[in-house]
Amino acid sequence: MLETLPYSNAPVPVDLTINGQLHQLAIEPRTTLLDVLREHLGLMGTKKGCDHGQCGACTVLLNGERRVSCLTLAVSHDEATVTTVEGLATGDELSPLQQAFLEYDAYQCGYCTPGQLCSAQGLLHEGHARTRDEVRELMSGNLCRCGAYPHITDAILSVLLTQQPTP
Amino acid sequence: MVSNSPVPASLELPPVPAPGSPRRLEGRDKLTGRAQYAGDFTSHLTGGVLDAAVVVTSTQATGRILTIDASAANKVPGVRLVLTHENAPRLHAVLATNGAEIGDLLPLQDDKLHYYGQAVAVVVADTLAAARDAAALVHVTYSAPAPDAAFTLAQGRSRSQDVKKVGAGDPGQVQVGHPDKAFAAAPHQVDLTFDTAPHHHNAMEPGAIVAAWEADGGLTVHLPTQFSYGDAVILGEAFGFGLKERLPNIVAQVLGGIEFHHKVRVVSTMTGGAFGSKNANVHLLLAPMAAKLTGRPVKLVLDRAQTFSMMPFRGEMHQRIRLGADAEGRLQAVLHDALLAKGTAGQFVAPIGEATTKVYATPNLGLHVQAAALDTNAPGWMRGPGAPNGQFALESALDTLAYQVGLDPLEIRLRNYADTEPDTGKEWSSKALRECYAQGAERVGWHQRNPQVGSMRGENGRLLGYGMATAIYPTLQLPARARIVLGADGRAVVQTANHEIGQGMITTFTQLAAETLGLPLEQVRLEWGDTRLPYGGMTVGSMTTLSGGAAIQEAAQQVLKTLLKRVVADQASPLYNLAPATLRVENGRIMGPGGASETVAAAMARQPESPITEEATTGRTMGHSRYGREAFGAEFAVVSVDPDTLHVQVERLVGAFAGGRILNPLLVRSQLMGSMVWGLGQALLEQTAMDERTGHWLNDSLGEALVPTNADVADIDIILIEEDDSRGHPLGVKGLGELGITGVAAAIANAIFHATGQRITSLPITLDKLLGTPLPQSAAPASNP
Repeated sequence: MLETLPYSNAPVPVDLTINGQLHQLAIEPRTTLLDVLREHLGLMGTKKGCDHGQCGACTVLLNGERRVSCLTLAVSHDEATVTTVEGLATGDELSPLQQAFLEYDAYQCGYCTPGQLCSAQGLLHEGHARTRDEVRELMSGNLCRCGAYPHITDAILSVLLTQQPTP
Repeated sequence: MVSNSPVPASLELPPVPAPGSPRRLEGRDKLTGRAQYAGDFTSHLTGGVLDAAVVVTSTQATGRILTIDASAANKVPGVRLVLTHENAPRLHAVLATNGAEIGDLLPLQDDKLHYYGQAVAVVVADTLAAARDAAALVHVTYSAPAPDAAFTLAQGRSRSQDVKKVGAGDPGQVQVGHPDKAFAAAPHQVDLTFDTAPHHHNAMEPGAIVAAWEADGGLTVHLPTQFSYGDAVILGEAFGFGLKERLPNIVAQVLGGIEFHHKVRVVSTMTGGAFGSKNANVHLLLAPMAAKLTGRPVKLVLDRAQTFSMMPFRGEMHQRIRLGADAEGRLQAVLHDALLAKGTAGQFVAPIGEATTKVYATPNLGLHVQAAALDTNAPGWMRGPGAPNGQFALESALDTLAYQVGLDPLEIRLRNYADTEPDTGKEWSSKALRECYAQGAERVGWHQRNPQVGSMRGENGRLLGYGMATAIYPTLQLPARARIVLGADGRAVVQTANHEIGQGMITTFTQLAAETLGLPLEQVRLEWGDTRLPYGGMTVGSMTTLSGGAAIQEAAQQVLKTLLKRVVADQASPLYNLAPATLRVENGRIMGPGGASETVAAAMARQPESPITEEATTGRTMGHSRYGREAFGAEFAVVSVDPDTLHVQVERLVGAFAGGRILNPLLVRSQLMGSMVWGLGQALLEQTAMDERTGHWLNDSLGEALVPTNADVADIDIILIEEDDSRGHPLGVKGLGELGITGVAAAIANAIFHATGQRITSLPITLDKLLGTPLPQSAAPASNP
C-alpha cells in the first residue's frame, strides 16, 4: 500500500546570491533554478532549450560548478551563489572566455552560448580538460545546433593555454 | 610555460580563424546574455502585462475531438483562457508561400484531427507555472482513429502520386535524351535504392512568439522568423485585415515600390537557429488568437516535444539511382526516382533532384519524383533542402560505379565534370570545382591513401576509410529592398527587413554598406527584422547576401553618388567644382586629386537639415540568368571504424568550396563548418522515429533525437577558393549557408565503404546497419608496422 506523502506548493524562503546580488525569494518548492532566473527575476540570459537537462542551454555556475539549471530545484540550494551569463563580464570588459568566443567565432545564433560559456567556465575551473579531445568530451553536454563546436573547442583551448596558474 | 602546467606542452594555441575579418557586431550581446529572443520578453516590454500561453496537443492522429473538458483547467488560479476549436476566433484562409501546413490547415477551426501532436487547445495564464498546470488538466476525448492511417512511406505507398513541381517550383519530372534506353545499353550499370530517415531541425531556440493587439486594432508580434513580411501577410489575411498586400503578389508590390502599410507588424531581431523551420508556423496564429480573446499580450513558447509536431522537419525519402556508364566510366545515363513523404496538409515536396540535374555531365538524364501524403505534420524546408539526400544517393552510386569501373572516386568525378549546366546546356557563371577537388584532395591526403577497400588501419587497430563527394547548391536571388540614410553626423543607417538567424547577416550587411560607402564600420548601423522597414525578402535558400546585399550595395552606391554631387556643388567644400568621378571615399574621408579632402561628417554637417536618403530594389529578375549558377565544393571524410564494436568516428572532414567572392571569410567559414556538422549528423545520428501504430514521433526530445555533440565532431578544414562571379551577381557572391551539408553524408558513407567494404544505403548509418555484413577479409588484425 502506497503512502501518500503530504505535499505543499506553498512558497518557501530561499536566499540566492546571483551575480553578486543577494535575492531573498519566496518560491514554490517545485520551481527550478532556471524558472527562478527567468520567470521570477527576469534574468533572461540563461536559455531554456529543452527543460529536460538534455541540451545544456540553461547551464549556470552554482557555487562555482556548472549545473543545468532546469534540473536544479532552487529550494535545494538556499544560500548558494549563482553566476549566470550576465555575471561573467566585469562591467564592459568581457571575461577572457567571452573574448575568446568573440575572436574564435565560437557561436552563431547565440542561443546555446550562455550555457556554453558557463559550462566552459566550469570546465576550466574543474581542471580536468588537458587535451583537445578532453575538451570536446567534457563540453558534450552543451548542444550547439549551428555546429560551432570546432570554434568552441578552439576558444576554450586558447583560454586554457593562456590562463595558466602561476606557480 | 611553467613546468607543473596541467596542460601538455604539445598542445598549441589554436590559430584564430580569418584574423582580418570583422567579428560579429552583435557578438557582445550574445556573449553577455543581453541578446533578446522572443521567449526572453518580459512584461515591461509589453506595457506591464505579459501572460504565458501553453499549447495542448493531440494524443491521436486521426478521427475527431469528441469533448474538451476545460473545467479543471479553468479553476487553476491565474488562468485566463482555455482556447479550443469551440471558442477560437474564426480565421480566413491564408497563403503560405513556402507551402507550409497553415496554407491548407488553420489551427483550432474544427474538431478534425490531422496528425498526432496537433494543437487542440491553448491555455493562457498569468504565469508560466499556472499555464503549465492548467494545460495538464485539459481533458480531451477522441473518436476512434481511422483504420487506414499512414505515417510512414511503407504504410502510405499506395498514396504515391507524381509531383509536377518540387521545392519552390523546380520540375519534379525531367527528361533529357533517352535515359531508360541509354541505361539499358550501358556496359556498366549501377542500380541502388536509398532510404533516409525523417529528422528535425531542432534549433536550440524552440518556436516562440509574443503577440499584442493594439488599441487601434493593430497587431504586433515578435517572433523568430525567416520571413517577417510573409508572416505579417499571413496574419493580416487570417485575421481579416482586408490586405492590399497579398502573397505571392507581395513581390510585385515590392517591385512596384508600394510600402507595406497595414496594421500588422512583425518584428524578428534575434533567432536562435532556424535552418528552414521558422516560417509560417502554426504558433504564428495561435498566440494572436489567444491574445485577441484575452485582450492582453501573450507569450507562447513551444516545449521541445511540441516542436516535433508543430514545426516542420525533413521528411522520409526513398530513392532509386540508376547510373549507366561507358567502359571509361563516363556517364551515359542518370536516372533518379524518388518517393517523398508530405503532409495531408501542406504543399511542400523537397527539391530532391536539384543536385542531380546540375552536377555531372550526361547526355541522358531522368528525374521522376513522387510524393505520398501521410497523416503526420507537414515536412518542410530543412537545410539543403533536397540536395543532401539527393547527393547522398547519387554520390554513393557514383562511388559504387567508380569501384566497378576501376577508377579512383576522384577521377570518375573529373571524368564526368560538367563544363556546362547539364539540364539546360547553359554556360556556368563561374565554376572552380576542379580547384576544389585538387586542393581538398591535397589537404586530406587523398593520393597518399591506400585505395584498396579495407586496407587501412589507424590507431588501436581501427579500420580507416577515405571518402569524398561533390557539394553543390544553387545560387539564388529574390527581390529585396534597402534604404540607407546618411545623416548630418556622417553616420549611415541601413534599413532592410531581412533576418539574423546566426548566419551573420548583421555583420555582413553592415560591412557591405560601410565598404561601399567608404565609411568605417563603426559609422554604419543596420536596422533589420521589422516590417516597418523596407522589404528584405526571405532569409532562406542561402541567399541573404545575394538578395539583401544586392539592394544594400545599390542603395549605398546611390548615396555615394548623391554625396559626391553635393560636395562638388558646395562652395564651402575643399572639393568644390571637382568632377565627382575623380573623388573617392575611404575610411570616412572624401578625397580628390591633389590632396584636397574632407570627412564625410564635415560635408554632411554643413547641411544638417538634409540627410541623404536613398532606396534600392534589386532582384527584379528573381535571379534568372543566362548563366548556370551554382556554388560547388569538394568534401572529403576520413572515418575510423572499430573492428569489434563497429563504432564509426569521423576523424576529419575537409571541404574545399568555390563560392564566388567571400565578403567575410570568418562568417563564411563558420557557416560552412556548421553546415558540415549538419552533414555529419545526417550521416550518422539524426532520425526521428515514427510510431507506425499511433503517428507519434517517439523520440521527441533532445535526449533521444540525436544531434551532433562536440565529441562527435571531427577536425574540420575549410578551404575557400575565390571565384570571379561578377557576371552571375552584382556582388559576385554565391550562396554558402547550405552548400556545406550537401556532400557530407555521401563522403562519410563512401569513407565507411572504403574502410569496411560495406555500402550502406540508408541514413543515418547506425551500428545495426553495419552489423549486417562481415568485415572485409583484408581487414586482418592490427599489424600496422
